[in-house]
Amino acid sequence: MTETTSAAGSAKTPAAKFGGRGLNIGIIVAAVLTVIGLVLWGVQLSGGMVQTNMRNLDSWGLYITCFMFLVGLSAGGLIISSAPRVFGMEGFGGISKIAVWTSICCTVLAIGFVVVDLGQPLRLWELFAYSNLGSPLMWDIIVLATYLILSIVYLWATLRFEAGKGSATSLRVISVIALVCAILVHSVTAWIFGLQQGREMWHTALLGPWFVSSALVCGVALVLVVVIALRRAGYLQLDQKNVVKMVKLLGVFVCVDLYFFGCDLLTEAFPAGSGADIAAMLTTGPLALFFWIEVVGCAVTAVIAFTPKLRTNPLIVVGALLAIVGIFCKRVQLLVGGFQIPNLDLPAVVSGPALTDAGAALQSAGGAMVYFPSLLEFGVTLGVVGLGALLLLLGLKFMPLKPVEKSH
Amino acid sequence: MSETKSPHAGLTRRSFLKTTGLAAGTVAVVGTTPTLQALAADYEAGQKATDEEQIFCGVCRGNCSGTCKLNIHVRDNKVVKTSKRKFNSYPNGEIDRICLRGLSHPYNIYGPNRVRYPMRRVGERGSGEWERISWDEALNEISERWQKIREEYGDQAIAYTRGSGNMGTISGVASPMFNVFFNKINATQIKIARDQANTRGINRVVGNLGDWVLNDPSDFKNSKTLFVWGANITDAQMHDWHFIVEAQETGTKLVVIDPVLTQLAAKADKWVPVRPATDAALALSMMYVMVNEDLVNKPFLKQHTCAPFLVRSDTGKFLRMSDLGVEPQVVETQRDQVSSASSSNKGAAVGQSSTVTKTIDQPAVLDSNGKAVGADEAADPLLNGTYDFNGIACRTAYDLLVEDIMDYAPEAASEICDVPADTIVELAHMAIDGPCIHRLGWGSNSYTNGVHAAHANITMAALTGQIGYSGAGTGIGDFKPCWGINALVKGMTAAKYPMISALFLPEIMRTGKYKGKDYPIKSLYIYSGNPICNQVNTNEYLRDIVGNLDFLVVADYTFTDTVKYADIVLPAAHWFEQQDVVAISATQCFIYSEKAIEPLYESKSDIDILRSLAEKMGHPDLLSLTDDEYMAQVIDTPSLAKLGITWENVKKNEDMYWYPDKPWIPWENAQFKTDSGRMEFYVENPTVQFDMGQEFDVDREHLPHYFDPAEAYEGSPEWSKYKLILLSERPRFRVHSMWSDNQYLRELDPEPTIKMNPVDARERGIADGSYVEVFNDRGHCVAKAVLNEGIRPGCTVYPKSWQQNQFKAGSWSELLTSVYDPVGVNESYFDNLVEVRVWNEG
Amino acid sequence: MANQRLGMTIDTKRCIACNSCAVACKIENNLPNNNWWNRVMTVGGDHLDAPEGTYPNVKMHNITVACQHCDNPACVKVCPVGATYKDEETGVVRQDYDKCIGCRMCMAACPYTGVRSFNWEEPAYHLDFSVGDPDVTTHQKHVVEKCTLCWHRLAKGLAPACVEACSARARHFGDFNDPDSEVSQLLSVRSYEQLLPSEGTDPSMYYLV
Repeated sequence: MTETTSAAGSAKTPAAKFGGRGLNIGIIVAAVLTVIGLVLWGVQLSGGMVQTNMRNLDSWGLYITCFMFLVGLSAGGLIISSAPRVFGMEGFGGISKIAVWTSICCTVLAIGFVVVDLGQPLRLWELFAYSNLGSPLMWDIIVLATYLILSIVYLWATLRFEAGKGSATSLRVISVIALVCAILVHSVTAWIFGLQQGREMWHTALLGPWFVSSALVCGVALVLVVVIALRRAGYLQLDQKNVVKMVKLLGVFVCVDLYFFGCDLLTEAFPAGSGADIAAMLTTGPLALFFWIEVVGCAVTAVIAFTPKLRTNPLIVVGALLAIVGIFCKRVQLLVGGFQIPNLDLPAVVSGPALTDAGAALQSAGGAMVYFPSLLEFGVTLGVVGLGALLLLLGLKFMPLKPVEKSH
Repeated sequence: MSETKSPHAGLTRRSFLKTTGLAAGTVAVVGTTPTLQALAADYEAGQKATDEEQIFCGVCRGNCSGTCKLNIHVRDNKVVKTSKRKFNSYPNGEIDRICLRGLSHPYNIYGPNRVRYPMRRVGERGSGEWERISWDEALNEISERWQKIREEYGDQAIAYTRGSGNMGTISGVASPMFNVFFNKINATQIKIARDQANTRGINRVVGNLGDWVLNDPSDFKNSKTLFVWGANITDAQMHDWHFIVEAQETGTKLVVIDPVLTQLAAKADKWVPVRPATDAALALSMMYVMVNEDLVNKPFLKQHTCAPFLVRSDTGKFLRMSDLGVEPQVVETQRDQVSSASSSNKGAAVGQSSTVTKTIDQPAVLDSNGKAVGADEAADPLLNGTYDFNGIACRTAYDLLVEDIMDYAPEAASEICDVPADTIVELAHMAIDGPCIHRLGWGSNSYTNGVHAAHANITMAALTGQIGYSGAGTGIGDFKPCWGINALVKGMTAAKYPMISALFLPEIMRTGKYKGKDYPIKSLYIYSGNPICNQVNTNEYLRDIVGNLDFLVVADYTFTDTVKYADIVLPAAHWFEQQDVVAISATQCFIYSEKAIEPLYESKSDIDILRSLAEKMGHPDLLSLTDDEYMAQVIDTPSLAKLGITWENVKKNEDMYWYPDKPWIPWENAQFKTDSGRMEFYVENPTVQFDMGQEFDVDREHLPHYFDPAEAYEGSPEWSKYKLILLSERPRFRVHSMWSDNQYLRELDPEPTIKMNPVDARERGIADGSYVEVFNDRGHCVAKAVLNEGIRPGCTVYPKSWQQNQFKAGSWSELLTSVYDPVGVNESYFDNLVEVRVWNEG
Repeated sequence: MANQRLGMTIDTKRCIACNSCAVACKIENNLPNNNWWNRVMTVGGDHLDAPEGTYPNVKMHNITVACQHCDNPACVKVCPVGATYKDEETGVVRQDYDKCIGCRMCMAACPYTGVRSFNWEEPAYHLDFSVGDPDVTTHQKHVVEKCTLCWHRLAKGLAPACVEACSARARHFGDFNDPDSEVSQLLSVRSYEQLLPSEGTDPSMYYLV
């Protein structure tokens, strides 16, 4: 997420000594954003969600897009930090705490986006009182909660381990569980969409693994950006060799992700049935912009990752950011695209409030995208992101997340 | 209250359900009563649904002809719902129904557009600026102004007119009460000029049996083919549709002749997309095929039509037996009964005896031996032949008809109608292979050649003989007025001044003269109608009629276009706020409508408004009977009493069928109401629908012909400027202009639209969904263009009767011609050319 | 007692798109402004009442679409709190407004475009009193709603309001599990379709064709 990055980036500006005035300003900015977000959320709840540009025929929007995206980021971070431990890889230990903390922040953010999307947040308790264990959303809530707790436990265990308490084995066990959970969290999030037969674009078995690959892409990319930034800020040291390793990994993940996309597109389009409409919508239709940003961005990332000469720090950051933006675009395509093509595409009176002026203007200008967020949605989103940034920065400021000798 | 898993939740207010579990209740119904009827709520008279809710018997009575009987659900003195109510006259439930308009009454009653108080105009006319005044002030002002006008200009200077906004018998269209009051003050009645071409074209051939008669829709299933000519039944009379589909289900073929793909046309077994205004040519060509292939029903022609009558070449009249030296007979016959739908002055019969003398002078026919004898004496009259009457050639009416028909060979007619010749032949074969019913709509009626379209069609029935029995008939048949009510209620006097057709009014107002004499009209009282929206040529109406009025009074219950221009507005009560009875109905039943709630705000029923006016005008005892007593006077006639129909019984039974038999079939046994008792397709003495001394071509009117309408054809005088024919549809979302402000329906149908074929839109650079200006020399109108392949290229169709404030600019009725056929004297709603261009002014 | 499967047959040969069913539903259930549980769709061209093809070779027909009360409802499975559920005794797919958390999973899951409506704002009404039946559930802001098959009427032994209001007599209501019911009888003699059968939801709304 770009905002997260820049928020983190603001921390690095006074490069001289980490944790100085810059970090405090960052914290204040993030806190202000959070408060603004809360106020806007209040506006949304009191005045009604009619102030968003979501409507009956496109009933999810930016919030759920961000939810999907952030679950990806969080899982990616945890996978990066736990996988080396699980497989006994060297050299990444130093960044694992930051990765886990980033991951925790992202998870909180993801949950935050679900909450702001709810019409009746005061009834959240019902999720626990009347749980319908058959609902993929319920699965996701359970897995996300578990995952959040696990991440915290994992971070706590790592810190304890560094403090000389606890064994390497127990840490490794926890890291195995965390890895499984991270993969699960992603698959389950995919199933929220992929198990819905009513949306042709979503209803594919590939969606689970694809969400995992996307998570790995943006998780690794985020960690890369954060690590390079923090290294520059003097918060931590990391061998360039390990950075390169990570970049190569990113390249592999990006290729896998693109491969999945290719498989999916081909499967949709080949029968030349209704799936062809989806392929057309993505490649030449209203979502083409997002499609091509993703494809080109990810391809560029892969080129950077696999070309030794291009693996300079600035380009790595550019590649990683492109990958993150690309995956975000992927989420937009998935979310909006799922609603874009109605199953009953027949003229009828549309129930519910009509498009807002902004939405209608966009529709006549852009031709046909069913949904584009309203300013309020952008505001609330920024607020949620602010909350995440606040958590991240507070963590950096107050928690011992700097690598210590023992973590290597 | 919320829905939960508990079966009782949300139902606790219904005491009788407290002991009934949901599942048990549902199973009982679904399991044991399989019919739909049983699943409808069935309320007895006066029954309460619950302690909180009362149910009244009401009648929805706009001009869709349905007059559906409704349950009016009243809670806390408010009408909260309407639902269909069982007709006792039809135990099988075939006419129990309701529609989207009947269902949305609560808005009509309680919507913000309701006229609440008497009001006086304070701004410019049409500005919509009013001040609230009391009833007393309003009535005083009206009576003072009227007295002054009468003194200055004469009694006739007060005029009154109506539309069709209420089918009630004391407060609506069928009411004699308006004539009681206005005849008393010698006011001028302005007669609406709608639906007249069909009436003229049919009635001049078969006589008047109460106007617009046709076999009951339940008889459609007995026909082999049902021809629907220019009738948008699925929108305008949707209550009749199920009879049609049920006929289709039992094998009847549905043929729809219509330039527009209506919902009905989409359901047809055969849709004939005819060129507008050419129905007469199509019917004449079908007759050509029948004659040419010798398929006509000769026995019927000989016995029941004027076909064998000899027509004198010198006068164009029938050769009469008196010409041949037979003394005519003079007999006394009963005067015709009164049709509840009659728009004539109900006081016309005051002082007339119940019988009329009639001279019987039989037309002569050629008997098989070549001799001329009286039509009723000839055993086997000749259909073809000539007779020399003292050197004057006489030919049979049939020969004259055939000669006329010979102009319409399928190939020739195909050019006129744009229907392939072989389709015409096919249609003719279907029409001869009876029994067939031809239901005529108001499409072909809406051009200046409309009289002939109807005349041609009823003439085809003479050739086939398919009329007057089950499955066979030709006519209009949406409305069925009761034939035999009493219009001479207490206090009725004859009118001092003649009625004036609404179509003549602009000229009279412009010139101040009628038939060459001074005839100033200075005040107009309008009730149950919205002519500024629904009459043709609005700009002319506003300029010549409204512009020359000193004083316009309008009684209505919502703010209509007409109310907008009034000087004094009187708040009328909604239908459910007064008691009335309906006597014009597709159901052929008298239907009693209870008063469900008190008139809202300061509104009064139309008859109460009349009572107040009469009092102020110095006739306090004129309308002294109660509503019940007047209704009894209207209904309690000897002929209806024979069927057991009295006001008391109507009130008790809620509805009573007014014919002896079901289904009702007009012209049984080929008994027609012409002088000869036969179908006189040769019109011996053509007359006009409304006589203002206008000239017309008598020769053209003897037999049906096709000729161009006034404007709506390629090559018409307006063609150089305007190349699109403007047709309207009466959409399901309104009944004329009623319901136009109903927001429930506006959610479904939010704004004025014009339907165009994509070809026409492309030529004019018009994008689907963009705003366009429709214009001609008479006016303009802005609406949203809706491209529709069901619209004939060269035509546009607008759903009618939006109010002026609902348009971005202009209004539909501005575009409509006020040119009329002198014979039909009818508003020619479709006889218009327009152009359409992109509208960019916001 | 065997469970019921309540539903409707809707005769597309009879439906003329008059919208009486839609308005009956609107009033009976006191639906908020712009909220339509039952809607008429034209199967033909790009607009209501517009056919496909080129004049005069054109055709159209209509379907009315509300909640399909599926035997295998996609919405019920995904609701995290069981606010939308299937009533086992009648087969009616129901909703509990008080329980709904407004997550709109059901709207995403339902394949039948537009049959559900989320109250995006405080429900507003054209009239300042409740119209229709007094026993309908009060509408709430920020919850999802849809056709209840007139649950409040079923309890009184009445067919849904749309069925009663259909002047074309195109709609019939009954129990598909009862072979003697009118709807079962109609299915045995008429050709029929369900909407989007490939979705596997097995709707209890059958369109007679």
